[in-house]
Amino acid sequence: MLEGSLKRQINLAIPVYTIIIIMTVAGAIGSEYFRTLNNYHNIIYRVAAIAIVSLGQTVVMLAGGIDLSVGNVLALSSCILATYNTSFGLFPTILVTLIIGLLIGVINGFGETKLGVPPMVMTLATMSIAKGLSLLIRPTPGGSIPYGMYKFFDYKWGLLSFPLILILLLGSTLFLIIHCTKFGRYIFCIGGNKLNAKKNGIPIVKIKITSYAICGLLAAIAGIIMSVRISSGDALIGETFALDSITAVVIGGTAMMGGEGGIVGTLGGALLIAMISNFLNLLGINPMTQYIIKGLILVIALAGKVKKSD
Amino acid sequence: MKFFNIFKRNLIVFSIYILLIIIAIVFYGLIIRLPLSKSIAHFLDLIRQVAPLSLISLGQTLVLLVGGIDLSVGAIASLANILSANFMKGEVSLIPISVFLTLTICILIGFISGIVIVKVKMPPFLITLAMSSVIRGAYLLYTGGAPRGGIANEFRSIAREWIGSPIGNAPGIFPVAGIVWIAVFVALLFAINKTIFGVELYAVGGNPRTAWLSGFNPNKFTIGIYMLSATLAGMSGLMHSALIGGALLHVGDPYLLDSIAATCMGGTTFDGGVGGIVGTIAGVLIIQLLNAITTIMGMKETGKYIVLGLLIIAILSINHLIASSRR
Amino acid sequence: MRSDSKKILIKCENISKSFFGNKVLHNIDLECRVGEILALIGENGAGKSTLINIISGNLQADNGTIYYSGIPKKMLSPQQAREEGIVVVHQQLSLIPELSVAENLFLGQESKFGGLFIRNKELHFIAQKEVNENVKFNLDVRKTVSSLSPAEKQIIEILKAWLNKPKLMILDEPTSSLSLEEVNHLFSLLLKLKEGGTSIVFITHRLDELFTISDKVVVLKDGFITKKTSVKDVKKNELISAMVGRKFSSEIFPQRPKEISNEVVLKINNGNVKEKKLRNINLDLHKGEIVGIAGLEGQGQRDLARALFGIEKFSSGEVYIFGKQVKLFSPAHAMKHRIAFIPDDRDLEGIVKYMSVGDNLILATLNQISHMGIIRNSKKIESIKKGMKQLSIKADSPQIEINHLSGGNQQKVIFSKWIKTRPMIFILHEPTRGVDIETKEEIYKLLRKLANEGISIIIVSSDMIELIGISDRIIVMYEGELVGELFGKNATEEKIMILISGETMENDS
Repeated sequence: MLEGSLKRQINLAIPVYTIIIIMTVAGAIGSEYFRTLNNYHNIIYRVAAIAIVSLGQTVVMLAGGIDLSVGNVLALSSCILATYNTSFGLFPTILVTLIIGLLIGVINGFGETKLGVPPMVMTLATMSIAKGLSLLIRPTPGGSIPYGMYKFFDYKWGLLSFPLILILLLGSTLFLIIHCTKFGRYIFCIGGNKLNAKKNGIPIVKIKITSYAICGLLAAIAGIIMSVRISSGDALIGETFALDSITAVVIGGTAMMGGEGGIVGTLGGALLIAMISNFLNLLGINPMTQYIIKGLILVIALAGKVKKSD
Repeated sequence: MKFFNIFKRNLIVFSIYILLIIIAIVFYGLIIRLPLSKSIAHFLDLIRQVAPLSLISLGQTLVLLVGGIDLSVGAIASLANILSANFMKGEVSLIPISVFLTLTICILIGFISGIVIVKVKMPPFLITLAMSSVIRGAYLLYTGGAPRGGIANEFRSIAREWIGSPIGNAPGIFPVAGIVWIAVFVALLFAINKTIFGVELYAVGGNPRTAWLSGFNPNKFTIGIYMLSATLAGMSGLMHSALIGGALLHVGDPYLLDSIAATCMGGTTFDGGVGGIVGTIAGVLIIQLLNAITTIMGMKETGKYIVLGLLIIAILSINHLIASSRR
Repeated sequence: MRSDSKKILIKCENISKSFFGNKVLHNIDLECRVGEILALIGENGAGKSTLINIISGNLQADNGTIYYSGIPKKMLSPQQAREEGIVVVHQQLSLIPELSVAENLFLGQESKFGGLFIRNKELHFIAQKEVNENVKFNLDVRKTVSSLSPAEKQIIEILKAWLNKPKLMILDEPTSSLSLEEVNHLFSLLLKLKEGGTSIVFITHRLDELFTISDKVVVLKDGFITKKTSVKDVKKNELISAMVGRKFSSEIFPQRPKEISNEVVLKINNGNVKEKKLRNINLDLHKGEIVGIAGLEGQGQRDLARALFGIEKFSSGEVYIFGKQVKLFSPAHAMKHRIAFIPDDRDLEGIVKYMSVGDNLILATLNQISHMGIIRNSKKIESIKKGMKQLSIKADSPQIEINHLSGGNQQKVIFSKWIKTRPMIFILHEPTRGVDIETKEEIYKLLRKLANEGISIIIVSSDMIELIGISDRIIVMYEGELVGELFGKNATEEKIMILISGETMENDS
């Protein structure tokens, strides 16, 4: 039996998954290649980065904030990993990458709560700083990823692959955090009605900072995945991730102002976005249309929400 | 006493201009150490280069003042750049028609965004985000990835030439581009301070319900503002076309975030009804000066981004401090 | 047991408080015992909210001490107040709309249901048990709070406060949006709380209620305690006198004219607003007349006033102004018909907070001071000066932000703004809410002056004394319909109270 916020977020995610199912069926019928295992893994690999970033964005947006820096934190991670793993060892470098992502998140949260800088502007600022740092480390794309790591990420075992496992692992962890813990409930409160959350004695500062920290951490993880995928580090790689992740979150049913929505929908949203270009390619449609389609899907998803609230 | 009140009310704007002056002095006095006349010439050239960003930021400020945000301005500027070259094909005779068509399309885009935001009541952030995606896809499809056409040399004069210039594009007394954006700025300043438009802007932005109950039509007005913002973004794209002399893809993208940064640094908030275009101009000039500083110091892009980020945080924290101490 | 119930839980000694140089509480001495229900009454602006904010730690008193269970504490933060067992249930609820009833009930107490993971099923089960035991009507705790009615929300809010086992529960007008039946539900819950040893302090405007349920009553007037007594030792009219005192001598209200003109300025014929459940509204408003509309909260008077300004729409029926039929599409449209409207919530709909006093003053009359869209500065300055002088608006300069003004002065700005539009019909919703006595007097004088000049006025107010004092005629609304009419000079609070609660009077007028 599902209660309360759990049930509602699944309801909100229904539209996304409906579209995904339709697309999957259409793709399976329309294109021979679509039905191949290869294409499936292709999609999964593409989804991985955007899905993980979107998970983090979900947490932040549920609490009523927004994080525009995710794309550049992702890029920064890729640059750090690709550049320093040879000198300092793979695992220490990975650790540092994750810590830096976390730290940037904490700074974002601190900026919003303690410095009074609106989240859009604060994360815009950290995005700029992250971009500068990335360019400092990697003025041009380059660096290297250990071959072993590349093989590990690429290993396929039937339907499973490391990226998929990562998505499922992180997804379920966040699902549990948001929907089954006190912390998660408080996030909904803050997003739903900040004033009332305060009246109830909920520690807004702590929770906001934590939500941004989680987002930063996940962006760093996504950056690691991306850098393995391209076998290098690139300061400019994350540019579209910020807005794409927000799109994924909104399509998945989470409200822009927060307080409503969830992980299940977001994963659907990320999947949908990743599927679009794959889909268009296979059907022989000009891939540039993906931008138009993305925009339209966003509007449709919003229209659906507006209708519901009437 | 009266001046003191005005000072207190506009403390944030005053501070940002003082910051601008300090940065300018540091730059021209300490960093590049050119003689005064050369420094002035450099600054005037800065005023020339800043034309596209100024225009787009002015539009963004108006949208923020009315309580919204426009994330499509970058895409609109890119579109204007591509369309203008496409229509003009390098011919002088086609200048008027291409400018007209380009701006008309931009106004239409603003109208659509405005209508959807106001009538269907969807969040401006997401609608303008969707719109920018649609515009981007549209011009990518249209150009097939390779923009066509060209900008007539005569049109380029609005971006490159100076008044009182000895020859060609050599610096003279004042850059034409500067006159263009300053004229727009002055026109908006007049409208805001001396006409009903200004009162309505701050009323609708500050409290749309009260504005409605006072006889205004906030919906119509808001749609108008989005149209105005789109027009200014279009003008910005045209100016950029004149600057670079042709069309490239995605030229407007960097302007989006800079416009938001400049607007917020200048004291305008996301709630609406607070701030103004005067502060925005200071923000724009600071961003441009920063670019110049980091370029000259050889830091290239790295320095610019880091310093800009830190500056935004610093300025907004201080703005917040000032604002909350007054409440 | 007897000695326990005599124990003093909270004692206020010599509490004073000022805002912006305005003293709102003078030397308050007050005590509340364990298991006692204390009613705190007084007019709008008497200081009730300030007092309970001080007791609950949301505000700090300027002088005086509060003893909590015998221990004196000068300053108390909201957190500390909570730890002392003091819980406040405000009119503006603290529920989170997207969460379920159960999740709201235990908000802040999730640790009772698990360490890392919340045992949600168990939480909902216990919540349902509590609701079933204590609330008389059926409520599924799995429903989201946003789907509840205001009355249900109020009761859940109180239940939630009670689950924290408070020593003192403070309720701010808990019954203002409740029907009679719902009030009974509420009171049985309160009695249960009292039996459990909780003390209750509640603010109310409904005098009959407090006789039903409270042990003691304290009357505040202009920041002073004018009566402190056990409920069985006092009668209602004594309470009313203690509440209004000077006002009853009607010095504050200007004299009524001998006669009202017969000319009908506004006529509503069979008006209905389906959405808001207004039915069969028939009203004639005469020139120079002041008509008051009375009613408990939510009985339709608010919507009627707003329909006359084009905010709500009449779904059927006709409206005639000076004999001509009109349709009121929007406020701008109503303004064209020389109607003016002052809403009840200043901050929400009356002013633009961060705009200057001057700009707020001219907001509705920009056309008068401009030519082809361009504002004539000299005319603007003149208009502002006149507006400020006319109502003696106290402000350092018209350039300052309007939210730096006191409530009374802000209201004056709004008045001035609308007077400038030279209306023929002036509709006011709670015109003196949050306004000091001096300003109230000025406003009443102003209203009568305007009426004498031929302007027709409709006042919707919850302040019965005000309605009785100023109106030529009072209309009472109940459940969306007009249920009675009284002439000003014959109106008494009792008569209004009868009509307001939906009963009929034995003899009319």
